[in-house]
Amino acid sequence: MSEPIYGIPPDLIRGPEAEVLPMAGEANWGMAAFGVQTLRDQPFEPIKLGVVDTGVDASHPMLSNLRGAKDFTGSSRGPHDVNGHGTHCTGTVAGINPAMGVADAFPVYHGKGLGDGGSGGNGLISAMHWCIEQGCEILSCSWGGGGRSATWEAEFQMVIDAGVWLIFAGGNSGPNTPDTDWPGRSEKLINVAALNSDFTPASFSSAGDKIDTSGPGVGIWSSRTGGGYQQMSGTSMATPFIAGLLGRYRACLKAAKLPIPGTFELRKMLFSDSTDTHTPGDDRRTGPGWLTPLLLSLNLTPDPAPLEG
Amino acid sequence: MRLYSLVAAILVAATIPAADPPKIKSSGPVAPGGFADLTVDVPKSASVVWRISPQPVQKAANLPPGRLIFGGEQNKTYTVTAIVIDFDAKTVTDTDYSVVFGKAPPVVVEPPKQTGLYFLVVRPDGPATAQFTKVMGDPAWNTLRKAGHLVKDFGVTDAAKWTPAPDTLPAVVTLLEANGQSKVVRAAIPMPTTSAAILDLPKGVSP
Repeated sequence: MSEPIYGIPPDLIRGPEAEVLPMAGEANWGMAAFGVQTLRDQPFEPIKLGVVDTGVDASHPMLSNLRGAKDFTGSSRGPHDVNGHGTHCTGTVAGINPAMGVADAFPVYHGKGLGDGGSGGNGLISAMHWCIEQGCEILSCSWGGGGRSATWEAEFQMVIDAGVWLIFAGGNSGPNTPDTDWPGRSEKLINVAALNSDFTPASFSSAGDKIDTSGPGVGIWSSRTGGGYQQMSGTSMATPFIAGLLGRYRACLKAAKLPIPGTFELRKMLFSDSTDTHTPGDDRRTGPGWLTPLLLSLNLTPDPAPLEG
Repeated sequence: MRLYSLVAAILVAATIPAADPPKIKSSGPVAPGGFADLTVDVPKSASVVWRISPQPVQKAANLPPGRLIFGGEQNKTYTVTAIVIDFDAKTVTDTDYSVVFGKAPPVVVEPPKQTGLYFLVVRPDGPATAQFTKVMGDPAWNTLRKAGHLVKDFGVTDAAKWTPAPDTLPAVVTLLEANGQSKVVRAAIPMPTTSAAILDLPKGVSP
């Protein structure tokens, strides 16, 4: 059986770059628009987060919380990111700059499973396993596109059985696609669509029957390989935002000594803790809507006691 | 030797005139398990005989003549008499003093645990509407939390554990938790949409 090839969703849009800060607007607009601070205000116990992508620029000052990186592609550059995609995603998940890193300063690991050109095969699975061995509880995976694979489904099942949440990009093929990329549309994973800053679906965000939630995906500032910052757009950018947000949420659940839901419970929760946008209900562009930190934070209050009698 | 002195002192006391009674000073109230610590001013030429009634549980030995330390049973009153015999002045004075050994602190019976009110916000199943999220973001909810109340939203299906489906959604059902159980203290009312109305939620609810 041939090895499936996955890659950065096509049509990733790379925007302006900034060598140094400050410039105007170098913040992920989702921080304020989504109200990330609501979750930041809750008590939390930081957890380890993983990113499986094109490698990472470990010398970037925004990624001083990077605890480890490893190459699974055979790249001559090792885990270093020459592509830029992996460094950008890692910064959004957990970069120490709170204007751009959602789970800012949480310990983060990077498994390089996509080669320098942005595509990968079984190295992606090895990279996922390595992140989990490091103790990562959530993996951000901004890639997809290969065909459905029973072997990979079995791998995903093992990962979610271990209690790890897998967050995947839905793809950048636009509104007329029959479905989002695989493996994001697998029921074992969390599939993320991208939004504009006015909460409308991003033009490039793939349509599909199984979208679990949506995050900011257009004009997203984050760390640039080689230093400085860069704007990018894509479901690749919405995915690490959701991964970081869920990382914060999981860290809050731990601090509150509340149970950590499995993937299927999590998907149900995302459905009710997203705020509707686009068309009412679970639609093919944004799923249930945008993931709402405020509604996540309400889950941290224990349920009422059972009714008397 | 001491026994001889005591007998002699008592004999002398019987034969010499009395003077002003001495003042007994206490170190303060006696806590449960503690000791009474009493002193009386004694001229250099005088001796003191201490009497304690009823018999103390414990009594310190080898103290200076003007000092008495003893232990008693909890919640019992002891009468201490200090008889001061001044050989130079040829006076005998005595005074009584009551010592109450403290009661053990009462066993604190916790009142039924009450965490304030629990505002159960019931909304339609599925994603929240933008209007619902906006209202839930009102800082007035945090004011209620700081006042000791709890707030949580539920879809109507999940809320069925506590309330029948309200006629109008979203709605707020008010619960009171005590002893690990909840009771509905106010049935569903329409969800308030202004800060003032949110802050008014606890009003009119009698636990």
